[in-house]
Amino acid sequence: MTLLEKHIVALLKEKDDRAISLIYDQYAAALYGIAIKMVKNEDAAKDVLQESLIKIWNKADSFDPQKAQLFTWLFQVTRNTALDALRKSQRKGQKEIQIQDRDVYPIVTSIEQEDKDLLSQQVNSLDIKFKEVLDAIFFKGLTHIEAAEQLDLPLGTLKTRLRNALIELRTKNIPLLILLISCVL
Amino acid sequence: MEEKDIQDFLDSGLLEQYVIGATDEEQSEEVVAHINSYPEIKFAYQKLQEELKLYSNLYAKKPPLGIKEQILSDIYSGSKSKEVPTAIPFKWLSIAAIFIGLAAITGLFYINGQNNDLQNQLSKSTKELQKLQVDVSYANAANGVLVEELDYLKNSNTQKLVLIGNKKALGLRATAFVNTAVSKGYIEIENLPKLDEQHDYQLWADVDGEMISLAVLDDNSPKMLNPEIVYGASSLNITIEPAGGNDHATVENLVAATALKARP
Repeated sequence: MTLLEKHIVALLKEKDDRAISLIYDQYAAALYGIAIKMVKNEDAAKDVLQESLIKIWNKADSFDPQKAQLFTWLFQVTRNTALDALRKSQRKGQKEIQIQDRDVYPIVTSIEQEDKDLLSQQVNSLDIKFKEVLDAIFFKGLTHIEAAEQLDLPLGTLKTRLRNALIELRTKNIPLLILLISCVL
Repeated sequence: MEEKDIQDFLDSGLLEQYVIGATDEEQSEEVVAHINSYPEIKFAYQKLQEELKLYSNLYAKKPPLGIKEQILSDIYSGSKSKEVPTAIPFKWLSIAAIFIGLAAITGLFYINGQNNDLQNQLSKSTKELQKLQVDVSYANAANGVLVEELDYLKNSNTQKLVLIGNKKALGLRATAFVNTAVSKGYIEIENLPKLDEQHDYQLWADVDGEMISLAVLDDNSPKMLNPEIVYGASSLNITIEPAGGNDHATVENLVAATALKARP
C-alpha cells in the first residue's frame, strides 16, 4: 500500500471527509470510466459515481486493507452500484440490457466500435483481442469458461490470451505505471 | 496442493472474479483460504489487483464539473437519498414500528397496572365505607341512647339521689335516678371501696319501715332499680352484707343513706 493510500484509509476510518476528497482526486476518473463502461450512459454513470462515493463513505468501516488494495475495493463498490443501476433500469423496461448474474452486457463482438468515443489512446493501442478478454474478465465478471464461450475461443486459447493481455498491459503502460506511482509517492 | 493444482486454480478464473467482487460468499472463502495458504496465489492476487487498476485507468474519463461538490455536500448533510432509497425508509419504519409496538405494550401494562390499582382502591374504599356505615349505625345507636338518657335526666319527674359513704365506707359515692312516670330507675356507682371476698354492698329501700332489697352492688357497673319501690320509699340505704346479698338488712352495717323528698 502506498503512503497516500495509507493516508486515505486512515482518514476513512476516522470519518474524516478529506478522505472522500482525496479519493475523488485520485480515482474518480477511473471509477467514472468503469461506470460508463458498465451502464453505457454518461448521465447514469454520473449517478453511479456519486452513489458509489457516498457508499464508500458510509461503508468505510467494511474496508479491510489486509484483504484488498484500496482501488480494488473502490472498483468493487462502483461495479456493484452500476449493476444495481442496471437492474433498476431493467425493471423500468429497458429490456435491451441483459442482466443474468454477472453477465450484465449485451453480447458484443466489437468493443472498439461500442466504446470508441470513450477509449483513450492507450486503450486503443491495446490489441482488440486482448481488450475483449480483459473486458470479459474484469468488467463482465465472466469465468474463464464463460468468457471462452462468449468469445467463441477454446479455453486454452483464452487463458493464453489473458496472460499475454496482462503482460502487454503492463508493458504498454509502464510509463503510466511509473506516472501513477510517482503521483502517489 | 500440487503445483498443477495451484495452476489449475489460477486458470479457473475464480481469482479474477474475486478481485472484481463477483464471487459469492462460499467462493470468496475458498479464494481467501488459497491466498492465505499459497504464496504463488497470493502473488498472483496482488499482481491481478495492480492489473485491474492499470486496466481501469485506461478507461479513465474526467467526470463532469460539480460532482465532487455534490458528493461532499451529500456527505456533509448526511444525505443518503441516492443510496438504496427504498431500503432506508423501510429500516427506519421497522425501527419506528418496533418502538411504537413497545410503547403500546408498555402503555397497556401501565393502563392495566393503573386499572388494578384503581380496582384495589375501590375495593378498599368500599370496605372502609361499609365499616364507616357500621360505625355510623353504632354511633347513631349510641347517640340515641345518650339522647334518651339526656331526656330522662332532664325530665322533671326524674329524681336524683346521691349516696355518700360514712366512716365504714370512706369514698363510697353513688347516684340513683328514679322516674315513676316512665317506670325507670338505676344507680350509677362512682366509687365503691373494696370489700373482702365474703362481703358485698347491698342497696335497700325503706318502705314504711321495711327494708326492701333493690340491688347488690358487687362492682362499679350501673344497676337497674324498680322505680315503683323507690317511689314509695322514704330513704335509700347501703349496707355491707354477706357476699351475694342478704334477705334482711344489717342495720349496724349501714354505710350510706339518703332521704327521699316527701310526696305531696
